[in-house]
Amino acid sequence: MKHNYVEGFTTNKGLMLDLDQTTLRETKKIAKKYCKRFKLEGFLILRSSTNNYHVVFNKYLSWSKTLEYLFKIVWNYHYYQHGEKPHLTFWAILQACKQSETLRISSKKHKRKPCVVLLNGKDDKLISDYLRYYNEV
Amino acid sequence: MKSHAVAFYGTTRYKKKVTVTYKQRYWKKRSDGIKQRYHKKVTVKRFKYVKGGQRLTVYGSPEQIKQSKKLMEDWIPKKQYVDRVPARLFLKHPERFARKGKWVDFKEDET
Repeated sequence: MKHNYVEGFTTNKGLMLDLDQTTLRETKKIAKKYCKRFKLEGFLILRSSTNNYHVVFNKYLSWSKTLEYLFKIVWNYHYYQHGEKPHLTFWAILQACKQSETLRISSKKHKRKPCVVLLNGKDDKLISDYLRYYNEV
Repeated sequence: MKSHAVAFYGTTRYKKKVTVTYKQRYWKKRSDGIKQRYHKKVTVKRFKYVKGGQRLTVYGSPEQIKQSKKLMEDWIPKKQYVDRVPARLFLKHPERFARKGKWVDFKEDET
């Protein structure tokens, strides 16, 4: 049976990104760069729909650290390196309001369930938790 | 794990307090004895059913989350945002966090 509600994985213990209107090449570049800079051990890239990607980083972080890293990425992403893309900024503000990050793990209207594209580095912490919830849906 | 949870979100109809401004007519007797109609602006707060996004976040064991997923087919969140509800409590007393209703699909409604 098809539902009208959407299911999402919510956490306040690690860093996740919702990159809308971004190519896979750019997503890989961003994930690799910030994984190395913040020492996040590994990352998982998922495709939610064409040119929309989700990124989950492996390392467990406190909520204050998560916010710090998230808004550092937003600052770099929005103003300096990758041109003006306000989607990530809007998403980050919404997550900061509700004190947890949420990424979709089920289908939504005409969109399919996000599919795994790339896994890099370790996957024993947040990525394994995410995949556990992802496989249950 | 307490830090991870599952969020159920979508579009529903929910009650919201809305300020409504309208013109109210009233009659006044003038000094020359003729009754004249006047208007004044009145602002009132009313409850209205509005369409919008709602969210309920549940945490607990995988089995409890599976059961609450089934329950969410017939129930919708009581308020606009209900965050961090233990699945054990939600399964026991769903009426505390949700009410009976259906999730609305915007596209189906419009066409």
